[in-house]
Amino acid sequence: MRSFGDLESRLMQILWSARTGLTVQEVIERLETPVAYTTAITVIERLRAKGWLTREKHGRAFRYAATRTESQYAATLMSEALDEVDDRAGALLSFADRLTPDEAQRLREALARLESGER
Amino acid sequence: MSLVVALVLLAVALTSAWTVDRALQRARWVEAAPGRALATWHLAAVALGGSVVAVGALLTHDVLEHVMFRVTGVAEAELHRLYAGGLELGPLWSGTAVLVLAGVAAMVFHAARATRTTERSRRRLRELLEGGDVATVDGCDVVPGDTPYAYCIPGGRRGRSRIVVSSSAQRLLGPDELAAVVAHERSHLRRRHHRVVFAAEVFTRTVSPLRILPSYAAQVRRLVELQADDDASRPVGRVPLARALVTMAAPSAATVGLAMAAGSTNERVVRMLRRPEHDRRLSASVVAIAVVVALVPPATLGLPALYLAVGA
Repeated sequence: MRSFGDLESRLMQILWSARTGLTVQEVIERLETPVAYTTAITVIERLRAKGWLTREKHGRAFRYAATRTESQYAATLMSEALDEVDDRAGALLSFADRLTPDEAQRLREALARLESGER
Repeated sequence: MSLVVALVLLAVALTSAWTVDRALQRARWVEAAPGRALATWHLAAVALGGSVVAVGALLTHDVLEHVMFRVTGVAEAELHRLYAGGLELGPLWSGTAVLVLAGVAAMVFHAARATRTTERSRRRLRELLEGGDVATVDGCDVVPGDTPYAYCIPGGRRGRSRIVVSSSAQRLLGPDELAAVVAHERSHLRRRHHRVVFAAEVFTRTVSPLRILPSYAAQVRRLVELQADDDASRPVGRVPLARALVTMAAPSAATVGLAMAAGSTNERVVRMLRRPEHDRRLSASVVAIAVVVALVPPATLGLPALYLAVGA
């Protein structure tokens, strides 16, 4: 997943801060520098195709709403960026790698034994 | 130098490198003294890498001369005078210089490539940190995330060093466990472990065709973790660190498929749960390996001259 483009990001900001779903016209009205209706609907539909927006029929128009919060978006970007890091040359030093389920189980038991023994 | 002598010397250097690699990789004492183990690996890399390159250079020179003699059939003494270097033809003509240049070029190539990938990763993460909603808690940056993770980016021209912890990790860890994580990452930054890992990786990639110290980079990655664990466990205790490691590394629904280097986490926890060992034989063994390692280059290169001197 790539981060949003400039217009995508501005549209998402508006939809994230809105409490309810917005129509395309309402989104355009809230933009600082307005864009053509066709431009807005193209980008909004692209965001919907990517799964970032849902729409609901409301009278004659569709209302669009964000599927995930801004913080979930940031979290997804960050964990995907981390997945892509090739850390063999020490780009960042991660605290821990993954244990297998077996290892985790045995280590938890060892910790529990140790702590019950200490008391 | 005769071809046979050069080959024998090369064999000695390569065998020593192979033996040291195996010995250091399997040695038990490194767990108790990761700092000394790291120093020994670096010494071995410089000494053995250097001696193999030096002997290899002599060998290349000999092979070149031999081939030229066969091809042209000119007088051997004349040919030798020409290829042994000297001012007439300049150093660039000798096989030695070619080999050394090739080695340097390979190292520059690998260093440039590794720099590009690490810089790209760091830049991307810094961008995300600067754009996202980051809370600074106790000197580390807490970022929203469903998976528990923690890492550090060293500072430099592109920004200050940062210790990053996911909100999920912050939620799962107790205060003393979080302190252990932060102390561990601080140790990485203070000891400049990023640079150590980088240098070892570039060395290993450069000499990988010769199989000199093939485990160097992987062992350095392991040992810097052990060293940082020791630093972190001193102020906060071994058990909180062990608990933090298990919490952060345990597989969960959220972490399935999360790519991570094959790891030393299991070993690290086990190590924290054992009593710290004080092995008196440790220092002797380290000194022995260091002496052997340091003796290999002068021995391999000086042996023929010594042989002649003693013979005469």
